[in-house]
Amino acid sequence: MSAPIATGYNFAYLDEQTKRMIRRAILKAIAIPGYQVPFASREMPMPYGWGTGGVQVTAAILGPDDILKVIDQGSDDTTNAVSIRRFFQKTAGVATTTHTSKATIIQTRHRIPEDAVKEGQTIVFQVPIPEPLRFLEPRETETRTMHALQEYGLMHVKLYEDIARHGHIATTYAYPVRVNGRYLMDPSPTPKFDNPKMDMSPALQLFGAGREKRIYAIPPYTSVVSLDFEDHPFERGAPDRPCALCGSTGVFLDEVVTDDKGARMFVCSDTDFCERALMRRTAPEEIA
Amino acid sequence: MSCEVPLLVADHVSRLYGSRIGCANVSFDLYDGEVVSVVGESGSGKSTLLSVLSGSTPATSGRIFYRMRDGNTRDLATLGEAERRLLMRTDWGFVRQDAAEGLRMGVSAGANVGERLIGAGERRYRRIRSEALDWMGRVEIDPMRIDESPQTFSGGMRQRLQIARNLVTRPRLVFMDEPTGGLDVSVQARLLDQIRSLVREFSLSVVIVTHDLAVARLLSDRMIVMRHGIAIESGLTDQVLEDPREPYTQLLVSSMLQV
Amino acid sequence: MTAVRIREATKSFHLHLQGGVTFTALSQLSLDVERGSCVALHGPSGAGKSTLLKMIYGSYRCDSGSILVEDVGGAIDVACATPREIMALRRRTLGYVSQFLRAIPRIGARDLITEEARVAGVEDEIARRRAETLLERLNVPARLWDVAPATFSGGEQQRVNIARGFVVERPVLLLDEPTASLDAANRAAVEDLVMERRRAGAAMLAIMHDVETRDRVADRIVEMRAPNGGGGLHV
Repeated sequence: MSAPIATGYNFAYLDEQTKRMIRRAILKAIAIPGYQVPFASREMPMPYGWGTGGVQVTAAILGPDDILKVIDQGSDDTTNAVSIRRFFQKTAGVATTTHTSKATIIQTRHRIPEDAVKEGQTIVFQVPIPEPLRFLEPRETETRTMHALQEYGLMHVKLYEDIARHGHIATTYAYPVRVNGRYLMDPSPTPKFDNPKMDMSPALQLFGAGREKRIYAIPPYTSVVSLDFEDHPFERGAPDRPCALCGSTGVFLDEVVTDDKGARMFVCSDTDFCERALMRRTAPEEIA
Repeated sequence: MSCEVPLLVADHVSRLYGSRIGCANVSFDLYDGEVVSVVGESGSGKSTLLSVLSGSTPATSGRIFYRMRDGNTRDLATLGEAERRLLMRTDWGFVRQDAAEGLRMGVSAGANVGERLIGAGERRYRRIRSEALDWMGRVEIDPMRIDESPQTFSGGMRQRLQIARNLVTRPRLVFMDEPTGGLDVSVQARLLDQIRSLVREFSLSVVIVTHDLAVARLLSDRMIVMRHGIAIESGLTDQVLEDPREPYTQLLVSSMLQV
Repeated sequence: MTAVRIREATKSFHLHLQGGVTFTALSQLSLDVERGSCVALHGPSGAGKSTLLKMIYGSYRCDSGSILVEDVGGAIDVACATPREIMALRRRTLGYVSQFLRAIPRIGARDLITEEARVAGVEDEIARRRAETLLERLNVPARLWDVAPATFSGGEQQRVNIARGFVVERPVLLLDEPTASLDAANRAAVEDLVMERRRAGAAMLAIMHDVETRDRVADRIVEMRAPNGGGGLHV
């Protein structure tokens, strides 16, 4: 499955000066958890919205010995995941994997793997809109001031609106968090189910927004608190059924339509997790 | 009484735009529960003055003092940005002529009122909700419309919502910039009446800018007449209206509709 | 004891819009009003009667001279007092009843009167009871109490205005034609109110064209004439 290394490109596509520039932004982002660091985002050989921010962050931190996993909505085999994985196979020749535990770098769009990540691993998130206050306050000058002065009341206005309309906080993804008791952060469009995994995570979490030219980070073992009201506390929203394939419970499920008569099933969104759970169930002795 | 400290002091406040005068050398004291109107025609500098007093535009010269809730009087120029903004969303209110500037048109009426409470640290949904409902009632907006966007509200309702939004944190000082401008006469009367009652009920100190002398007469204790950026005459509202001294003030008063 | 002491008060108006004409309304007027006394001002129109009341109240500025009004902490010279001092003086000491009510569109008669007392520091319940007593004494039908006076007849409006002027028991009262459009019964009610306040020690200055009322309530009549013989107009 590994493609031949393409010639004529620098290791991991970006030139070294660009990678240094991005690394400086990443270091700053790690030093100020949750703060959006501007960086000179480059044109990448893929359209905006396909993870150009995440790809640049991955390119900047990738070394020859790294093992890369790329997921899109938890899946290793969707177009986006496959093409980004191929991109780095071709331009960096690094090893890739679908196993969460074997990867050193996991680039992700919209999920955090079900398996617990560990120290030494890095999760790279693809971010479309890094500014959580944008929809309520379109002026960038104003939102920056709000961050500077920790005036985050506006975010609760959004949550208030949710409860007023739906009776509960209906935000299910891109659920705002407060990082290290300081910066308000958009955890990218991951489901709120994954928010608790960000809190005190042993892995380094990096966020790249290519179109918006912003990088931010959560260093390992940093507190990440989901915003809520005292009388409407944050709820993770655990699914009420097991995976229809592997039978796992307490995992994030995708709804899959199985025919054109409306039949559907709910299966693990993390395909790697699902496959191995299935294998454990059918042939437990083969698993080391 | 005589040792009472003013809430707001403007001390020779000027704002220049290059060589053009926004307002020049304006001085006055505002005490607790007092309403001062600033009248004059468009371009007289009254809105500039309001913007300088409320700290949104820096003064070119002169100083503005405010007695904070802790009793200490501070030079507003020495306040940090964070302190100034905190003041603006708790102890001060600002009612603007264009409600779309004073409201958040993208969120519901309830959220508009709730935002200032949240900004002041309230994190209980039920409390925010009940305060919002209470304030909608006070300003005579049907509480059933709490979840509607102000986009669907009439001009008068928007202004009343703006007032509710401002007063929910129980400010001591409210700036008003032509709060009844652009409204139908009947709507104006109702709004003025409500402002008047709320000012009394909460002993608000108010600086109100208006070109309408009838508004000033109904609401204010004292009046400042501005022309070409300069305060040309000031005094008790009834004194300025009944015994205007300056030619320009006499002209303004003689042009006033007798109600 | 002198409640109001006026010395050489002079007032002229400079009418910029009418070619800069200066019009003298009051020249070098001196007058004392004792506590418990009611001084009626008498004279032709243009003699400066209303001007004098407005100068004492502070609505008109005083060009020269002094207007001392006895206040709780000593006399205040309205001629040179700050707006704030005048506001305080009005709140606790100085009342003004004109014949015209400046009604506020949506406030009922009772609330209008109650509010006047509340602003002067009277407790809610007491203010309300006082307002009701006054409305009763002035024969304002109870069905009108919660109606905004803007819709009332001239006489009814005037009685609401009188109630408003008397609801706070201020020691100095200025009355400008308080009985102008009232019938005999209501005139008598107003006369009673005035006499009660007089007996309680209030000092009053009144403009009253009605001779009978004047003779009943006033203990002194001051004749006023227009300055400079007549017209009072000089260019």
